[in-house]
Amino acid sequence: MLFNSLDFAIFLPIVFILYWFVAHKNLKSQNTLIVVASYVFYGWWDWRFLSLIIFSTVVDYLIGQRLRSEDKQSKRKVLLWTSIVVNLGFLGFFKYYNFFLENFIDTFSLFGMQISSNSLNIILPVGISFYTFQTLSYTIDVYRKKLEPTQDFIAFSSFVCFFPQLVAGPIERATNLLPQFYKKRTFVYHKAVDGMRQILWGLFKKIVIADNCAEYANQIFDNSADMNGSALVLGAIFFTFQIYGDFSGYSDIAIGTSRLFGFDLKQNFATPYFSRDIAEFWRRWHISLSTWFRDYLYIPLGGSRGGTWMKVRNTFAIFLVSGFWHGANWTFIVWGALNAIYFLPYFLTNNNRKNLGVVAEGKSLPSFRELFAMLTTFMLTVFAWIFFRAENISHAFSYVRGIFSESFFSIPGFSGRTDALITLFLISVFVLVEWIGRKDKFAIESILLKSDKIFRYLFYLLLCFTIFYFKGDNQEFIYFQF
Amino acid sequence: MKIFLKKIIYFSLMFLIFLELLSFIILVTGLFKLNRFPGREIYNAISKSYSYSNKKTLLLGDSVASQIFSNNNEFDSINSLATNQAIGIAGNYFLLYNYLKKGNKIDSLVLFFIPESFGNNFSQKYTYHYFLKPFNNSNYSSLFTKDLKIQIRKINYNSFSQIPHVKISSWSPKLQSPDARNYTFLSPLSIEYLNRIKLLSLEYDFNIIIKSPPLSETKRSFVLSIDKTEILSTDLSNEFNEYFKSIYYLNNNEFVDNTHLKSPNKYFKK
Repeated sequence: MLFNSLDFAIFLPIVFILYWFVAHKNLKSQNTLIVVASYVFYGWWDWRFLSLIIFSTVVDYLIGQRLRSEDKQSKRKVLLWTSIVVNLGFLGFFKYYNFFLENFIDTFSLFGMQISSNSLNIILPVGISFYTFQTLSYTIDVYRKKLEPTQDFIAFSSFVCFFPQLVAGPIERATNLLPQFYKKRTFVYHKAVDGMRQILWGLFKKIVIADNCAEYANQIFDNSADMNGSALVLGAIFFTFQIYGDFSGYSDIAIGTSRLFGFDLKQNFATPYFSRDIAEFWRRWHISLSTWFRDYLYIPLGGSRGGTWMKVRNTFAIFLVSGFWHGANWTFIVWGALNAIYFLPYFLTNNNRKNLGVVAEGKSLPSFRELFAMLTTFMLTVFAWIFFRAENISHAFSYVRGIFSESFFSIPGFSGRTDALITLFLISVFVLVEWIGRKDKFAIESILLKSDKIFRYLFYLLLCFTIFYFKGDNQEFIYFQF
Repeated sequence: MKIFLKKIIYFSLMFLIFLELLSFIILVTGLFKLNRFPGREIYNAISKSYSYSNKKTLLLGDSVASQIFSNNNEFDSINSLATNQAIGIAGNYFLLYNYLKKGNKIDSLVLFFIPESFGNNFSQKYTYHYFLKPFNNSNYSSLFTKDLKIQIRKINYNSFSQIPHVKISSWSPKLQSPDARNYTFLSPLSIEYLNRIKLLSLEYDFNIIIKSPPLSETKRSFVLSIDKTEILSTDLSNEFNEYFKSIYYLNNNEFVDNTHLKSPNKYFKK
């Protein structure tokens, strides 16, 4: 079920009413309703893959139980690895089987050995990368004794399949989300209103910004061989805003929806395109995944301890795995490597934690220096997104070659150029609002909150109208494929 | 909780009023044509059909024709009102009717359509957006034939098509049950309106030329399978005989989707 679909617009109020009017009396009924609603939500896409979620839930719940009573370290390790193998096994099979098979065959063919093998027609279960990481975080934290294993199977099931963030995150930690299922939720008016506001902003990002940008990004990337350099630059910029609007929009809707049900999820994006260096960008982009890799991969590998070689190795490890997490394609791995290359100079010179606060804090405009730093980081990011969006590596390189050609200085040539101006205008408005609300958890969290009620409502009405009127062609959320 | 729900309901009601009001303003001022939505070229053709022109040839056509003769462009001797096949021959008849009633005199009318376009019987997914929204109103209702009215009634939510916010949006309902097709080339409604066009040609004294834009090789078998006796139901048999003779085919790689041309400018002079 897509957040921007009529199905969800009907589903959400029904679950909301049932949750607060029928299931509000006790914790068990609240959690049970969440499990049932989440399975309906997921099964709407393909009910067959519900079995995967249920299996992961049961396995990790039982492993958690065993870890509680097991003191022997060797046995605890076996239990942990069982969970890792089961979870990553599913992920590996559904997401990476064909990739490894094809690369295996290609490698052998390089040495003149022909291996014939058929790739399988595997459907990637929506959200598998997200809920797999979420359940893994539970087992690892229980293993590390950072978290008491739950004895409440319904609460644990709710944690694994919580529908607002089930298919595209934020990837919640058991330490943050699971305890929220232990306490009966009561309706808090301000929380719900805040949630609605965040949903509204998320819809704007997805439907107006991402879907409109997708129109041009798809056209330009799909026909990149016929496009001039300036059009290719615009295509990359459109994709840059498409992916941000799409994914952060999803996160906003997920967080907002959770708030309607009394839950607090972690912030997943913090205006990343206003970052002054790439290290700051990675503290602000897909925060739940970056911190997951930091805590469960980077630190166990040794983190920033050790010599330069260790730092380089660990940095590349985290960025390459992060790239690979996005999809079984070399383009994502190159994208990860590129970001590692961007990041390393800051890291090795201890400048990676220079920009921790919000840019131009307390000021309306950035300084020239800040602006320059933001633009440079933005351009580096745009360049890296080319690899992320390209069909394959050769497409990415031909795209980049196309940019750095004489036609870079010509007028962009693609169909619907005049209409693209409307999209560029909408992007400008979006960037302006994000700038104003850059210190908040989401851009319109506090905008106009202190001003007159009429202005505030007019702003929301106008936002709703903009979503209605400037809606782009309905596109599936990009991160569903991850 | 009650306050929250109350506010949500009030806000939704306020939004509905705001939506209709703003949509009405955008519609009346014509601002909606600035936005990107499918079928915008039809509104341009409608405005153009009400304007005066001294060009002696008028061209009506589908989206392939529109690629070569866009109604946004000016041509030396041709005035183009080419739009999209989804407006059907009926929609094209309305444009022609407006144009002639405005007092424009023409010597020739060119109907520039690929063969599939003549098969539109207003039971396809684009009918709502491309035909009902621009034409299902009092300006044109007197030009609807009985069969066209019957066909319109079959379309879900047909009466909503003129509500401002529906009209300015890209929304359209899905057609539930397209009619069974018992013709190979000319739909019953196309025949009715082609005959009406013929009547206008006699009344306003102009000749009719029917031409086809270039077709992909992949369409050759379709064209060969056309039952040519269907053209006998029209008063344009001679014109259609010439039409079939004029069809020429290009390699499939000249097309983006088997129908639309990759480089339409190449065919302008032909």
